Amino acid sequence: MQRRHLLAAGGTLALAGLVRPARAAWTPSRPIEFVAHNGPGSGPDVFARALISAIEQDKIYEGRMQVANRVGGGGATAMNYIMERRGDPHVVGVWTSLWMSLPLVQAEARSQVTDMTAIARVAIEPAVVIVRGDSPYRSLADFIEAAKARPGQVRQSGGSPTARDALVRQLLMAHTGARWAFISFPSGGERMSALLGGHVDMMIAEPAEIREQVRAGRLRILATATATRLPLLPDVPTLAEAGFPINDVIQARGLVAPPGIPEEAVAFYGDLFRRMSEGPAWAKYVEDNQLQSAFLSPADTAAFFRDYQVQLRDVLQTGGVRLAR
Amino acid sequence: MARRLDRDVLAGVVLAGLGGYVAWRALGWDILTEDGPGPGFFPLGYGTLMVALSALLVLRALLQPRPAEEEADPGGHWRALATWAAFAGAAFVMQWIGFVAGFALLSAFVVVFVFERGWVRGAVVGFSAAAVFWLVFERLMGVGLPAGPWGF
Amino acid sequence: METFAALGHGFAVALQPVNLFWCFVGCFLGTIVGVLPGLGPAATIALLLPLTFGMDPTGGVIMLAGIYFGAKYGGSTTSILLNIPGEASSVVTCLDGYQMARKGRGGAALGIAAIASFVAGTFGIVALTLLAPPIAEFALSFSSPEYFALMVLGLSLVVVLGGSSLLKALLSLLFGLWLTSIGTDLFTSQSRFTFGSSFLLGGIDFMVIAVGVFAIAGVMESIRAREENTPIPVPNRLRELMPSWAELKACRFAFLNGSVTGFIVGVLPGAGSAIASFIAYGVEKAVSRHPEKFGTGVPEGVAAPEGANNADSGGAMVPLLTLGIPGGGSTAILLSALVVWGVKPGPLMMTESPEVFWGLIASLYIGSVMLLVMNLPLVPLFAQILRIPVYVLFPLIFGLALVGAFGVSDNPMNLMLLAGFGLLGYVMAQFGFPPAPLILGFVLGDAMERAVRQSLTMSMGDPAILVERPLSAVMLGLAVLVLISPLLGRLLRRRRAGATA
Repeated sequence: MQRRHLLAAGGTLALAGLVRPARAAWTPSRPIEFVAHNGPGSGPDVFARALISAIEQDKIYEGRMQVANRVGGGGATAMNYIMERRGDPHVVGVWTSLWMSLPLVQAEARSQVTDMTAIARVAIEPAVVIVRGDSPYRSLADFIEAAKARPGQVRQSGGSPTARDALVRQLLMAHTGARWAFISFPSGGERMSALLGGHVDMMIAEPAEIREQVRAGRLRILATATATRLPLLPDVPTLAEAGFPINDVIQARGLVAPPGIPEEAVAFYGDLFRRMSEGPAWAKYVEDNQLQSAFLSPADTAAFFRDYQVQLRDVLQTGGVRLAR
Repeated sequence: MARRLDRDVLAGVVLAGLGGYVAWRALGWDILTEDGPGPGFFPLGYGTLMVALSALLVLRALLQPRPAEEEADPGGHWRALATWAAFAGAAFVMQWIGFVAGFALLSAFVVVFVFERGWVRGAVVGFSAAAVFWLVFERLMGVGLPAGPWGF
Repeated sequence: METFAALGHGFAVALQPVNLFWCFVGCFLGTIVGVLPGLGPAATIALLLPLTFGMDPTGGVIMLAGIYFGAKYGGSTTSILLNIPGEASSVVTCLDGYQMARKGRGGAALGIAAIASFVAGTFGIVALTLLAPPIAEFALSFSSPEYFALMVLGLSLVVVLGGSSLLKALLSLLFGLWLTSIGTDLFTSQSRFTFGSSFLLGGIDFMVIAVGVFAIAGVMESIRAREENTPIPVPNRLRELMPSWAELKACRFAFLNGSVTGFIVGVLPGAGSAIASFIAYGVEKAVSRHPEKFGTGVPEGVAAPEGANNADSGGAMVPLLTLGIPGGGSTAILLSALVVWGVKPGPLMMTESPEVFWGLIASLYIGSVMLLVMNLPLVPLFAQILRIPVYVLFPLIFGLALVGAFGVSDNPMNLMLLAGFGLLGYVMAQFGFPPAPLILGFVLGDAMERAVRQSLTMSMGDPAILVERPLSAVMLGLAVLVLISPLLGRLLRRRRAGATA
């Protein structure tokens, strides 16, 4: 990884950007580094590789692209790295919702996405509320009633208290006054096993991880935690339709660049990911993983970051999570 | 005083200090909440246990002094620590001079100063070890090693 | 009977020359990349995965199976020869493997690791073939109290793992528990012991600790003791580079123990192959007739953990293929790869697409055999590494450790941590604290804390939940037996001594 070179090149290009007329198109002069905040094989890493593979398959950009795993700090290391690369247009960070919640709850995590150069939002990960196939809860209302009747004895499996599943629980509890336990497990596999084994009663999951179990009748979907119904699940009501109109908690993925990169580079990346999100390879990836393709331009992505952080702060406060800033 | 005793007492005191620190920090976090045990629950437990066991270690060392064990080769320690210092130093400067240069210097240091095999051999080992690593990991396997100002 | 017919069909596909070739390529690349410390199976699969895209699904799945097994296998080589744990589950292999190498039995240790991997790996696949659905249901019955009991049972093995002083082993274990708390608490997002560093929010990587405490500290200790004056003997004759009949016979029980332990632990989504290898080693030592020889280079000490590590592969496939649940990092990436080819692991896979299901299982069998055939001839070759003069070998170990730390994360902080843990390991050795309990505490502590907190949240604070479930009660009982076993042993010996006096 030729960091020094990248930096030097970034500096010159940034300067060149000032002198050159603003309309001149920018193209990368070095391999583009896709920064993933976790190790090879992890979610962010797999997603970064999928982006590169979609771009390559549809021949949208033919230069070299590589994944750099900046692991550490539960994401903070990768975010700090993006901030440190100020002015370097050959680095893009693959962000997830974690990049927005982390600095809100951790005093040590000082880098903020709102200080970086927004590039794109490319996908939204929908979520569904599921119970076991033989569960007595036929609807979300059944579940809420049970939780009201036996406070603390009905359980949901999930992960971190700042992730979407925990936030939806907080909003639902605030809305209904019901109270149920939240049991944290580090991996999706463990959350699912706890549900299938009958040790917890409910879980909020992504459609891709439960598709086969639902088809086999081992799991049942009560509602989608999305603003509108999912095309793949036309019969499943949204939370609002199920009678619980709470704020939509979006979980999204996209790209950012270091602060202070030239306008032309922003335009280049905005264009690159727009064309990627219109290509067939991306469409297949989105379909395979049951995501929603949701491209936003650099300017809209910046606005999305701001709105999202305001909303997140609100939800976290409702849920009693201590905020760091 | 016997050397062995000194060591156990020293280790016990240091670990008791660590255990005390752990327990003290844990008290600042939630121990038991209505949502179940908090982040301080577990550290408070093992921190306290650490203090107790360290105290036992110190007591045992004080009550049963054992005969001194003669250090046969005190120079050995300095050798080992010098090697470690070279390793840590090389690891530290790699972020500026790159993996290849840092590793070459480290290898040469080990050959020349630790094993006293002469400068020529040191240079040969340093250069070839660094070259082989660069070829195998950077070129063949694509592990991203840090680069120096000269590009590798 | 249906099973065998379907499996037969799977073999017919997997045995086609072109598929055999892809299986070989997968095993080969998996082994080579897996040898690198820091690149565990999940990372290896992720790095090699792009090679299989663009292949036809059958060939791709078969090559993937090869990579999976190869990557699992690769970790033992550096553990045995250089005392560098190649991955989390190979840490225990260092204990006796490296000592065997120092006694001139490095080739034998590698051979035993290969054979144990084959035997236990095959056992895992056979169990997967015959028992997958019922075993998967068993795994689901494991709730947090059972995981808690399993972790306690694992931690109780400190009694077996520790050296001469139980007190020091326990302190070492507690230190490992502390290290594992560093980072962000999963339940509350509270950061613990990060000292204001954002890097530490994610905790310390296991490999950095293991490589530091074993490899770096090991090199320092060798340099202190001036071991270069007593070179490692490497036999010249091919026969002496292979395990002897006596050594293999000593491993009989270890093969079985590794197979069963590895498979059962592998099936549980909340446990990992590192836990399997520790438990297998502990059990092996606990039932051994000469436990005092463990740690000085006994072949069982290599066979049990390496076997467990590979039987775990078959076990981890059970929840993946029958329930669609990935149990760990490597099966998670396997799952995402299978989805790319349109293969959908889950409860319906066996009935809806039996040809893919059985084809995959058949290729696992072939991968297992392929790995043995490929690796045994490499053993004498790898053993030659020990001929390298020490003044070259030690820099190479340093280099591999550094590359491994980079492989985990391209962050200079990791290198400093690596150096720090090297020094810690050295100081611990000088003060008589064994390093293995520290690693044990680090691996199990985190899982145990989670299990306790999950259980108590489920029971709304009532600790009875930890002991009242039958499975957890049995495991806790076993743990108590292990914990008091040194006392029992001493009592028995005293009584015997009294009787003879």
